[in-house]
Amino acid sequence: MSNTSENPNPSSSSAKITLKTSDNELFEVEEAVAMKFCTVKQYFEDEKDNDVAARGSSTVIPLPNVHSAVLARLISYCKKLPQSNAVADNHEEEETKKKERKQYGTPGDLVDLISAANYLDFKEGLEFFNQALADHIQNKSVEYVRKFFGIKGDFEPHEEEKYREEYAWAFEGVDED
Amino acid sequence: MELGSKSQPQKCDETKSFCMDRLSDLPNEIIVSILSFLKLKEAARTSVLSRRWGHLWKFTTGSLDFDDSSLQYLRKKSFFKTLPGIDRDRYVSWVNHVLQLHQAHTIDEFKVDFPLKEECNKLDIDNWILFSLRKKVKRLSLDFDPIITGLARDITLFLLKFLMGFPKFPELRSLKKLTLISPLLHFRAEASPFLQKFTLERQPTSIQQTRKNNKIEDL
Repeated sequence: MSNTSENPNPSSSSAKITLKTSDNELFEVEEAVAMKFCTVKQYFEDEKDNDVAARGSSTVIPLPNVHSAVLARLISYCKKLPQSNAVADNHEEEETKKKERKQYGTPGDLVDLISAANYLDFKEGLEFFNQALADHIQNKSVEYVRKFFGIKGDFEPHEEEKYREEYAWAFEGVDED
Repeated sequence: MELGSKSQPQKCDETKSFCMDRLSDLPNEIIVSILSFLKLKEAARTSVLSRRWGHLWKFTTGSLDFDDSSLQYLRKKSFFKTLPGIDRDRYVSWVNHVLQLHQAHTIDEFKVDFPLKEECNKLDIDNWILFSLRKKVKRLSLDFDPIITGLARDITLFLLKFLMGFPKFPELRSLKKLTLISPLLHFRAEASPFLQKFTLERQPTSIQQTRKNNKIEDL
């Protein structure tokens, strides 16, 4: 049942924290990584205060809202991108960052990652994945976005037409696919 | 991609509509945060996706970039496209319309880029600047090429008055970058959170311009 973290540095002496996902997988992660998740940090500190967890690494923190596949991705993100989400100040840099963001899967995967990052109160990750999702909406037509995300339009035709007229400036120069 | 060895992401093996529900089911503040990464018109387009999305774009805190190219549509439709006054009015109404709708308390950027006329647009422009400052704008960019010099000077004086008054105006604490562009008066001002570090960088391209810049400097 154990799914220990793929830490390439087993000699590391840093403390480990075990996280238990919604599907009962166990992840042993470095404390520094786990502490990026404020929800985990809070839990960990409360435990400490309660003096229950003097044994440190043997504490298991349950994450009932996070699936193991999603947590694995989040941990992988933490390891790959330790630097901050500073705004890219030139086009080239922005393109590189966009490629990085593209690696995190389909919009469905991103929604999972966003939900998990939100639950874990992992601000840096939340911002990153929000932006990755925004990349899929960027410069796309309404029809494309609806289809791509499976969003069902529930406006009456005349209501939608009213919006389209009111915000006519927003509906030009759009890719159709 | 480093994945848990055994389990697959079951959630997204499901149909697209399941993922959809999950996207539209995200809390408002997350959807708004996603929208804040989009350009103004991209964000506004999401208003017609569904009722759920209808008004969320008005809460975006990203960039209000009133990009001239967004008006191509209006220009194409306009019978009076040879009359710049019509375009000007449309541009001003567009900006005013969006500002009226905008609900968020902060914005990262406010950017206008259109040839405007001093006698017609001074009040509007003052309002835009006040709006931006109230929303704790970080980057303010005004490009009225070809601007009437008097207006550029007025705007500059207006802003400098604010900046000099700092820290009495806490809304200026957010302003990091200020750009004013015109052929006759071309300079870039960078304002840091602390007035002491406020610098005015001039980019003179003509003698006439230098004269104007000196005027600013004499403040």
